[in-house]
Amino acid sequence: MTQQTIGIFLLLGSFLGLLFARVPVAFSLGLSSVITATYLGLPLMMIGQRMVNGLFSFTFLAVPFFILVGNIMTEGGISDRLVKFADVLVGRFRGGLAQGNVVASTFFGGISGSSVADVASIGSFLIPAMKKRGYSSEYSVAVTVTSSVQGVLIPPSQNMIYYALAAGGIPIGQLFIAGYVPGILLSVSLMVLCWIAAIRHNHPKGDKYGFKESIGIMSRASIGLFTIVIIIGGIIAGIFTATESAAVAVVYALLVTVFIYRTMDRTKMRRIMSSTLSSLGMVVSIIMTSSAFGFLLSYLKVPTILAEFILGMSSNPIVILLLINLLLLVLGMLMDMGVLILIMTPILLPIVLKIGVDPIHFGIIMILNLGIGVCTPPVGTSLMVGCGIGKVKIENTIKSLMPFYMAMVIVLLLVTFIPAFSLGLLSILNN
Amino acid sequence: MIMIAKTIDGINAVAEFVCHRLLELIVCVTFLQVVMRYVFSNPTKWSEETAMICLVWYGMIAAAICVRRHQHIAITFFRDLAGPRIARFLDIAAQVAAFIFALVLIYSGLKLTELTGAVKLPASGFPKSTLYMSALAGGALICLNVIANLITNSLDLPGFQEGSTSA
Amino acid sequence: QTVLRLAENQPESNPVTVAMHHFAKLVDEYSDGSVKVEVYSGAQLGQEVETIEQTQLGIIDMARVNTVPLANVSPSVGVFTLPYIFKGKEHKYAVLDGEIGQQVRKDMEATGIVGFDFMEAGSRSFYTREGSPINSIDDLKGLKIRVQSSPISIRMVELLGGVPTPMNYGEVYSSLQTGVIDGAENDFVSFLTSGHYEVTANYVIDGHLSPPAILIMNKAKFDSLSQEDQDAISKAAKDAAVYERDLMFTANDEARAKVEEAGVTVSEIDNGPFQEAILPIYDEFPHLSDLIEKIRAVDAE
Ligand code: NA
Ligand code: NA
Repeated sequence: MTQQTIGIFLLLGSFLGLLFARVPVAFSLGLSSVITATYLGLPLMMIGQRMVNGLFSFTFLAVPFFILVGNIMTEGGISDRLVKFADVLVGRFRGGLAQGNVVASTFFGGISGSSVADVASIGSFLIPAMKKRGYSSEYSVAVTVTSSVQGVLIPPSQNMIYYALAAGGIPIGQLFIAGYVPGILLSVSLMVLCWIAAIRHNHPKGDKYGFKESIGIMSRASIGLFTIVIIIGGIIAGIFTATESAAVAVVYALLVTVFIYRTMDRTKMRRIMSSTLSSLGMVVSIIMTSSAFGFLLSYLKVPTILAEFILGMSSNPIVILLLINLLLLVLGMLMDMGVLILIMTPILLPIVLKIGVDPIHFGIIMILNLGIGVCTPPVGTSLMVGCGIGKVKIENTIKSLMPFYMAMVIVLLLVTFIPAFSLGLLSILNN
Repeated sequence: MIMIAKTIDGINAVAEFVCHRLLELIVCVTFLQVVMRYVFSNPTKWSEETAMICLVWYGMIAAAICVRRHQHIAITFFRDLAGPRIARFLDIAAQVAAFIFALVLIYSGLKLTELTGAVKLPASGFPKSTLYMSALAGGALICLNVIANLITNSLDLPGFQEGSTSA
Repeated sequence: QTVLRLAENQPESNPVTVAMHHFAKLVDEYSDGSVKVEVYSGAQLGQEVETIEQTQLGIIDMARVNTVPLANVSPSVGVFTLPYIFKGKEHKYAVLDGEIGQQVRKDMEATGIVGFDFMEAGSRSFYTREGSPINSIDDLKGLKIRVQSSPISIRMVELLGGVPTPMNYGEVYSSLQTGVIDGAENDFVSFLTSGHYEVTANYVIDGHLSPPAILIMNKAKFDSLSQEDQDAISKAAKDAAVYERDLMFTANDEARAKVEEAGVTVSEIDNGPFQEAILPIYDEFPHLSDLIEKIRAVDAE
């Protein structure tokens, strides 16, 4: 065996070994990187270098803001009012709050461009609200996490920009337009699934409200709802960038809860800061160590080896597309989405171009596919954040997640083999 | 022994205080960035990088505090299947794993500070050591927290019970 | 056989990545197979700033980087990143391939890296949204222009009367679209591949910055090789640089044609007033003053 082959087995083997031996995810990623770097004779400075620089990135700046704004909204009662508001709209239906969660993510997807931010913000008030209504924690987390994939499909999306860059000159505007229909398709399928689950498991209904009462709830919620208006409106009006909007929302939510709702006090503030530290510390340590782990995967050329393996297996376009999807699903479970787009696009794009796939279509396939990876263990940032907020163990959510995974894979197959989902809207607009 | 654990928890309280102030700083700096650009048409050049430095420090320290709070996510499926003696062994082994990793983090933080620490960050002008020293701080606090966990025999994952060990 | 790992932050299709693969082929040929270069493209080992550091520390062996981030590590190379420092293509390469280029490359050794021949990385100009065309220096007044967060870029836009707005590259597209910024600056190839041309109306060729790219290598690793292998690498780097410059100029012309076809108004401008406006910048970098004088004394042919 070559040094490279041994290195790959060592990296993946020690990671899985440590992981199943109950070593926390962050330290399993870190220690397996240490072991492999030592074997390869790489300076151990690499660990700290990748950890620090992996987090020292603008992309992650939005995560603390969204977790913070979610906590402020929850503690300060904005979320309660918002959830009541959603209740007035969809609560009378069985499983209404789960539907509301998916709808909220679809709108939010147009703001954040990141599924982690979506889980952090929507999840931190909808998961507690769903639990209060009697949904199981696991189901609440599963709905929140899977519907967050809309965040990367519905523009604007940082990851689409990465793809366009890596593909070397794909028009980003067209990629953005191509994302809408698959994003909405995913929303609709998840909503159908929630509806079926609601009937089968007899999910709770909300109370019915009279007209007057409804107006009262809606007007009380409107000040809080304005937080979301700030985020969307600010971006559309060109006042601030997506990340900045989150910081502004933190300040606004704080002002509203302190001066208007008068629900904020020192004890609650301390609790907000403390629980933000717990969620953030856990997420951020995984971001840091997976950056060292990802470096070694690249260094050992794992993505390239896998691509060569696929091409060696078949020349049939359908089989190749299936294999590529399978490959991306597996890699997506192990590595961060942004990095994978940058590494895999140049490797896979020439292959799919040869079998006649449109590059914009392939971009959507790839982003949807890797979006699924963000919701799966062992390395799935959205899932980690969701489990952190819902206070459930990852392995316990798997059962609830299974139907959602299946729905997502079906949507993925539809998007893969029916190009019109991605390109239809585009060709209508171009004519 | 208990005195040692108490002292370490005192250090954690200070670390937590630092984290909270860092988070406030990140919010304020980013908010200021919007105000300066939109209201005063005078964009700041240092703000984004400064916020990112704070985030790295926050992340390193918070990662360490989470060791004491048992907030790090782990897969306990096999541990829960095993008998109590094996489970306890695995719990201790997980602490030792964190400790070893923290030692590597300290070593690599030291080397990085020494070798590239003098280079200046382009926008804010802070030296690179401002960043890499966070690895030292985080690594050291992880080591201390592992020691405190072992002394107080606090090894189990609390299953996301909030405020389990936090003051 | 020695394996050298080379980090490249551009994707496979970029001319500079093509040139790096060409370099790998040449090294193999010139060293009779005793040195093998593996190219890791698409920033898979990290962004430029990180790969420079990784090269210094010996985590990787080589990296192809721009001189702007490199100037943070080895200050003298910063002279090539000053605005309007080169009077044109001929002057630029007379300086880079001549004595001054040699001296700057020599300075890098103190930071633990070996620098090879300079490569072309395009010439940066301003582009703006609908409604804010730049026809003279006065038009720049008050425009929010996105710049890289480097002191030189920021100061330059300030001196030209604009409002320098450092911003993450990934956010520039939507910021141009929504009007968070009025414009940005880049070379034609990046202007095309970033898609910024879709949300831009005007591109004015003022060529304010044309910092070269360079291939760097960990010095300890380089010194550990035999004289023959060292020569093979140096020769391959030289040939690859010449090859890259041609590719880049062609790509630049092609990109220009494509953005014009897409409806962007491309205009030439007399950059005399621009050059005058930024003169104070040369005095603000006292450690570069000797080099600046030398560069200005170089005659292109
Ligand atoms: Na989005
Ligand atoms: Na959701």
